[in-house]
Amino acid sequence: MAGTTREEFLKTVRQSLGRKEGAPEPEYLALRLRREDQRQKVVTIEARVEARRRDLLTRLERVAGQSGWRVYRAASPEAAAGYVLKLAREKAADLVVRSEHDVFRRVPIDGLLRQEGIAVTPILAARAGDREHLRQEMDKAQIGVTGVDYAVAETGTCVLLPRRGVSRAVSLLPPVHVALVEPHQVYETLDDLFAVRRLAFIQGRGDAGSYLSLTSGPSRTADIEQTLVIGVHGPVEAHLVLLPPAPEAASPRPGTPSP
Amino acid sequence: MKVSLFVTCLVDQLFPEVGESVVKLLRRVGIEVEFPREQTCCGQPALNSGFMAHAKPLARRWLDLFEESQYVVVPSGSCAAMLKVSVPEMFRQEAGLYERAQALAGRTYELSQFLVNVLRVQDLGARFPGKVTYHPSCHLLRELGAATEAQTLIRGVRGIQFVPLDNPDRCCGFGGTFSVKYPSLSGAILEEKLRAIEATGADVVVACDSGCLMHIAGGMRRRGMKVEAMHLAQILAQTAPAEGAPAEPKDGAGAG
Amino acid sequence: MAPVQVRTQEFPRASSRALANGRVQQALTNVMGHFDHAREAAIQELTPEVWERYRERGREIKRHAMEYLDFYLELLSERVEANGGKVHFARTAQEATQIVLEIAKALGVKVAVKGKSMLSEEMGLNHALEEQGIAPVETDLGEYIIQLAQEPPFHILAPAMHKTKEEVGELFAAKLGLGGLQQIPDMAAAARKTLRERFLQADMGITGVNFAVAETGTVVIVTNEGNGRMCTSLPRVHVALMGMEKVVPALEDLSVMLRLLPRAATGQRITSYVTLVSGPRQPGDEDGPEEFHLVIVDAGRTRLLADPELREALYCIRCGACLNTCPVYRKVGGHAYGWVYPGPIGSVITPVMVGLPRARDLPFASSLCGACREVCPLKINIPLMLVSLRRRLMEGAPGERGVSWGQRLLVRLWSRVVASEGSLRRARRLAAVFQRPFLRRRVVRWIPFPPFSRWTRNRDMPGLARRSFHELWDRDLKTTGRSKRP
Repeated sequence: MAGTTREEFLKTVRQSLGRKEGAPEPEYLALRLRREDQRQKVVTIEARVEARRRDLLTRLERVAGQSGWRVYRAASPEAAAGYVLKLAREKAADLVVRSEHDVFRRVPIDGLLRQEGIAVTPILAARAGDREHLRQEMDKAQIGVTGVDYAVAETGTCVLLPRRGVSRAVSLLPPVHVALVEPHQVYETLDDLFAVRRLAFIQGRGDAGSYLSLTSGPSRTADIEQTLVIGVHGPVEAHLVLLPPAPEAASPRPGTPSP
Repeated sequence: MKVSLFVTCLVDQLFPEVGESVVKLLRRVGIEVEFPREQTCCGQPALNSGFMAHAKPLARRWLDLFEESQYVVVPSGSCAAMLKVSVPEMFRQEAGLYERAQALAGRTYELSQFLVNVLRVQDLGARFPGKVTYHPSCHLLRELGAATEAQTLIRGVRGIQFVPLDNPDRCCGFGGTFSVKYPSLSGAILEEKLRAIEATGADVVVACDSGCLMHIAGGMRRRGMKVEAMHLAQILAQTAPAEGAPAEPKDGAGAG
Repeated sequence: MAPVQVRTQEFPRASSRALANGRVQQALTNVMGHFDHAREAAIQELTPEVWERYRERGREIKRHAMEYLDFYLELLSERVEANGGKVHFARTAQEATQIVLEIAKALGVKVAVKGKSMLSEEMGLNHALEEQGIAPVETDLGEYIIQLAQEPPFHILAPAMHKTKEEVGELFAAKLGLGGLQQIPDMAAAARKTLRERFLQADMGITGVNFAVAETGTVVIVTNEGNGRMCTSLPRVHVALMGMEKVVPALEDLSVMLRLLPRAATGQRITSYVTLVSGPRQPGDEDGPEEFHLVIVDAGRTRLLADPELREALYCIRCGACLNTCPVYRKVGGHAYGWVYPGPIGSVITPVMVGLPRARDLPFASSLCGACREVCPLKINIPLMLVSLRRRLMEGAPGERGVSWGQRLLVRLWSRVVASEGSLRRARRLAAVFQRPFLRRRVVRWIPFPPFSRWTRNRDMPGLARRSFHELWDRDLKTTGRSKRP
């Protein structure tokens, strides 16, 4: 294999830093926080976010709108499903793909769309052989609907943690993406998000998850004459549907501190 | 209070009327002015061209000549930045010299900063009937952080009409030796500055650096523009409206 | 496209050509203002005080990461491998290219889709892939355009900013057979359609890396178009190329960096897409590449690291703000600089990477106005580093020196003149005689001797004053009563 060994490479780096030996672990606060500290940190964040929930939702709505999301505040899960249906009609969609997020247990889009003769394909590869087929479905679909794992009010961002039942491409390939956001998923800042994710990393004993995607509006470019164009490789339209809180206790999010 | 004037080489050789104005206006507010005769140049042209070995003796010279001064006043943002920022840095490795340079740098001021921040004057009793605009030279603005001083002083002048410049903080393209290393580039950058000056409709463009003024004036003259370039000190030194012409430049910068 | 060529030595002529090129000038005039205004508005929205706090924190993160770079690179590589990725180290750009080619060959790759990566430009990767029969497809719209035009990037952020929409329309017609495109949105739509096919057929996705988090073994890719996410999700292998300075210690450091980069670059709060990749697809994942390779590249960066006066250049996050604000870049654009990184930060990095004597004109291509340092989100002191490089060229070891006898002679002469008040006075007398034939009404309009001739080419030059200030002082001012003038 071409290239240099890690040892040789690091030796050159060390020499450039004027060191012979490897550095001892540096005193760096963000690295030093151990599991219990990080858990405490996240508990504090959760409490703050809980106390400010109403304001955060308003801020998310405002900032997301500025970032190019079309924001819809649904009065009920049914209204949210209705919004997706309306959108599907507008786009004359015959195929909608969706992820397998828990939120679809509350928001019954499948039945509603199918009643109208619109096919809905949940992206869940039961067999490996399905993958190519599912990818074609996602490429063909006019709309992709997903839940989210977190949302960030500071930046108007929806965060997805792709995993079983959550494809990377549902929110990427179709020209329209609809993200269903539940109030308990909304955090205030990027710092909150990464603190929560870091705790998940520590609790998962080093497993960071293979992918984390932050999406803040539709895809865009200004590469020709610095003229903004919405819609390049990713979605041309991005809709953020903000749901009302679930009546029962919120379902746990990834990264919620375990006791 | 006693001020030692570091007049800068450009003012000494090309624009002595600027130095004369500085002396006049400092004396007007009751300051004793002295001029250490052995001074020549701060060494910036050498340092910025990469010749530190040639800059150092001049920095030493400044240190030796002015060390006893209560205050050193420099009618140039660029030369003041050289003395206050670059010279101590140049001596960082030289124990003793570094501390001496730091101490003297602390007592060295660009003219407009000295007037506003040390003397705390905003009105020097100046009168100047004319429409002026102001170009904040880069080193004064960014090395010395003088964002408001000169404009405060200009606004304090009786009879003056101040018109702000578009994109004031853009460089005029002078850059010391840059102006002769890349003349067409320097001239192209200047062109934008001249257009901005022209757009103000001002009779006079004011700055606190004779280098930038020489560059701007040279460009204006070549293009046949009727705007004059004047150092702030020349504006502030005028107390009565002049007959006919708004300024009294005999030669040099004012001749724009 | 031809392999990356070093044309840095042509800067003096190339910059003059750019100044005389009406199309380049028009593009620069039309476009440059946008970036500056967007950045300024984003900072105002955040408030300059908060912006300053983030800059300080970002700077501290980078300073620390560079000081312990060996530690963090080791941690990063361990964690990426723990996540199932493969880490490669390359000391040179050529080594990095070899690594990519070997990965591609082992998997029988025919088409590789690429996200924007300035490092891949350093490597001349597209050319190398083509030589091996692998089709590299740039997917960032700007990169795609210049790939079609077979040109190097004009700007690190907006590589095709010098192209008008008419030129892009012609290019799409000639190279893609898509005639009649006149509006920019139609061109973007055409690119979406064309490149979608390539995304779906590509075997390999190649991207750059904006940040790499050591602690979690994660690389971060920041885009607006979504092409980065495509490249990292659809092909069966993802190769991420990173300059070794991209590493940050912890996940939470990202919040600062992600606030700095988009605002400084495009004035956005955040880009449409920020993608964190921590390895290949895991069992159960619906999609994602089967293999993830991270190539960590030195290619001259350890020279910056080892240099106390230049180490700060490694703090650069490639936002392009210094280009956008630089009076020189705004006049000559990116191609004149002759290598991958133009503008102020390029004038620091390039000479170290391609060799100082070869790039000896770049450190002088600055008026030292300091605008770059003012807008840099990491507060990199670029003017100070340019002066440091100038010093090496003039006073450095023979290998570093640029030959410039004229300048050396001039500075010696000048040194003699300003050495004392007496020598200055004598030189003045001589100069007064010398200037006389060229003086017209106290102004020199033309003089044939350099360096003055280079001034009078486009500006008038004042003649020496009738009396120097020294003389005025002795005659009039010294004796004038102190504090007594009206």
